[in-house]
Amino acid sequence: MKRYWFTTFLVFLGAIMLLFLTLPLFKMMIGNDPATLLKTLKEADVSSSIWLTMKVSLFATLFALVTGLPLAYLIARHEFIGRSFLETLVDIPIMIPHTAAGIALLVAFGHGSLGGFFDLFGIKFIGTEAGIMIAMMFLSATFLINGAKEGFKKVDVKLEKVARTLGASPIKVFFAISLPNAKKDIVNGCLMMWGRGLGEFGAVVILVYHPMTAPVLIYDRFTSFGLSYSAPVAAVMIILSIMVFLTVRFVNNRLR
Amino acid sequence: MFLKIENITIRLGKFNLKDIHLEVKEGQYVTIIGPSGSGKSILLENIAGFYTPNKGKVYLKGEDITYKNIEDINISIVYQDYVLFPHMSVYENILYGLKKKSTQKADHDKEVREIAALLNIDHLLERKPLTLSGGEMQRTSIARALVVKPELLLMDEAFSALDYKIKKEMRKLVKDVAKKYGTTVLHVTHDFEDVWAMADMCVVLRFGEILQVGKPDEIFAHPNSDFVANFVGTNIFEATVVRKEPDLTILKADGFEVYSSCEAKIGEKVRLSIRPENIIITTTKIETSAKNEIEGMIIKVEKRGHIMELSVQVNSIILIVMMTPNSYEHLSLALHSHVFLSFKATSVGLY
Amino acid sequence: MNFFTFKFFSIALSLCVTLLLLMAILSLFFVPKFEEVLEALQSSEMLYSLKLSLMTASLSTLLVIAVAIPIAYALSRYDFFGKAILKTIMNLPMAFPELVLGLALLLLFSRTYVGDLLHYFGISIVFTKSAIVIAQFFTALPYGIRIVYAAFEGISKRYENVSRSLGYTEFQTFKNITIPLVRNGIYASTIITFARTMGAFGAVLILAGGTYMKTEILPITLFLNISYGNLGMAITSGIVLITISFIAILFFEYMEGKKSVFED
Repeated sequence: MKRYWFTTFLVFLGAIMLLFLTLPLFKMMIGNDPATLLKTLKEADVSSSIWLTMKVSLFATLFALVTGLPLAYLIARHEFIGRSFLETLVDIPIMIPHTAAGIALLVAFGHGSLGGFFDLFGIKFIGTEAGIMIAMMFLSATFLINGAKEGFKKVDVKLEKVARTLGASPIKVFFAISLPNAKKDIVNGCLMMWGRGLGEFGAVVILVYHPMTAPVLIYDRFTSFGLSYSAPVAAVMIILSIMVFLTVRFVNNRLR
Repeated sequence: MFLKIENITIRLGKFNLKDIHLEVKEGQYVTIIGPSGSGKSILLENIAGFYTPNKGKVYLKGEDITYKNIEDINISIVYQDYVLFPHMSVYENILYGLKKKSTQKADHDKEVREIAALLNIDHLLERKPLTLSGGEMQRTSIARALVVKPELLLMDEAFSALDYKIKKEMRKLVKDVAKKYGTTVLHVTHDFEDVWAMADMCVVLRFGEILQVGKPDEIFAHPNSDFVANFVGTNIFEATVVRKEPDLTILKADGFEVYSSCEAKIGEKVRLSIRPENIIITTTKIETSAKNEIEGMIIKVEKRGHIMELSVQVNSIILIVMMTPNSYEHLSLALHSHVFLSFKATSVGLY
Repeated sequence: MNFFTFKFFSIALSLCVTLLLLMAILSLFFVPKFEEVLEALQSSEMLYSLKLSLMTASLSTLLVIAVAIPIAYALSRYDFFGKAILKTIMNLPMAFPELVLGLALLLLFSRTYVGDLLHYFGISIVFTKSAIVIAQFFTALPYGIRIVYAAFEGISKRYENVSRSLGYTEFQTFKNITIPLVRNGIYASTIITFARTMGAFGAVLILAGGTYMKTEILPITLFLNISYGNLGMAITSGIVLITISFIAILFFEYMEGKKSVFED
């Protein structure tokens, strides 16, 4: 076996990073015995917070799915002026600091013109679930749209063209050909967005402090009562994140 | 033995090499052919040291280089996509390997210019690779590889990306330069014209195994298996040995007799092989020294540029025959023409 | 269902939503009064926060890139035991909420032997400026490694093979061939990492504490001022942050264009 100092050095460095990252996470999880974790889970505010987070992220994902899929399809299939501009636009939310995004949303949807507009329909964003949803959507939709875009790109255009020549309308082609073939990447994108939404903090804490999502709850407990009180909830969140992560991997392999 | 490859086995999942055994003499020009996925490039890269084998050894001039560092072995490689360093000029590319050699710096300039002149790129020395044509880039790549006087030159489909005419020029150029420097060359290719033009020896590889090794004539005229025969385009058909005469074996194929100069036992069932270009086709029986004469009918005619490829049916056997379009017209041949095929006993291979 | 109505409707909907979100960002620039913003920019808090942000982000970006290059190179070029595991772990922080990362780091530095070791040497990390750099570092590292990895993957391994075969060692090849070819990709990665470190919030808040005028960086300024109700200051922080991100994005796109010259 050939050994070079360069290679060993690199691997060593990587191993150190590994240790640094995994050690505390591990500690956080095993620091609490399962009993404490379960007890924490049963506490009213914790369980309702987690439920809220999952529910709203799901709504955000579904909404992004409905509005984002056509957009993703459009970008993937058609050439038009300003397409790359649109693509960059879609990428922007994840490049902006979360807190800045939060305040932008606050200003736009709070009392400004947009806020007033939605107010007419009885939709308020400050301090409501709708606000949380908007924050999650804004910050994570990029993953869904890009995932769907890649998925559509992978579908052979010829398949769609053949279907059209055989008499299928564009909508039928979309639902019967494009969508099923892009399924894997779309599902991937959805899972990623949902997972990200669960952990969204910076934007949510600015826009909607109450009702508290899980990350906000963790922070709140941390500032009020310290590390020991907030760690169990964090541990629960880690387990959830890992489960989402594994599901994504599993789905990836299954749908291959 | 200059280069010896012993029991090399490499498992890379998709591409594997199984127990490869090969011996190459100094100064030989060896071509390695085979279908894609046969492991040709892996073999090359293993010799160069980019991969370590799971099993086996590589010896160069008697020394075990299997686990030696790549930079300590003097083997150069030329790739199909040139791989010229884009941030360096042609001159700097060629100079790159020279700088590592211990010769005087003063000589370097001379050596670079010498080999550039030899390969007709001396007018391009200041240019950047991206501004060159395919042929120019490949010549630079070869200059870079040869200027360090490697003990072994590896070419991985080196001509595949070049135009036909350029390829012809390159073949002559490379063969001449390699001869001049006495370099041993291993050339992986899928183009048989490379084999005909340049090879002293040819190796056929398939699914990571060597099927046949020998001079190009031997392999093409006397393939040792169905696969090799089909791969190189040699006609094959079944026959049984019926009797023997001095220096000759006579076999019976479907309805006709064939004379072969190869050895076989009476009663053996074998495959006979004959190259399309070794068959003479006429419209009447002719007097030749060729021992074999059979009759058949043309059932298919394909014009491939400057060659006519005819499929002639002899009873149940179909033989491919090649001739020039001129001869075809001269003999007034056409589909369904009745023809006579004659070929020498020495042209008939057997396995 | 008529083609016209369905397609039209769905595209119209998506464009609307996109427009809405675009407006959200723009509104940040247009809603507040210019004088308010200017005033906020000149406040001592804002200046302190800006300076600290730039300093810490620069430092952590340098550290991220310095660490990311060897790791990304190893991941791209070598096969070694545990490579798949390393790759997964490298991706994990992206799946975790930044807040949780912050808590994990806090645990690491206060409750484990790492913290004890540092304390022995008289170094305290938690709730200090160093904590900002550390939190930014760990938040941005996975992304940094990803981008640098992609940059290395874009350079064919054959260049390095040829260099090695001509007598250069791995390290010399890395210096003479790999780095020049990947240079623009590294620049692009640095810019993106900088934008990320500037915006790091959750982890910094937990580990460094977000103390007014002590460990206050821009995102924290935003947060603190919202809590007090100082909308003007908060909005200004947002504007500064978004502007910096935009400049970074533009720079990045420019670099992306330049580097394609060397890629296959």
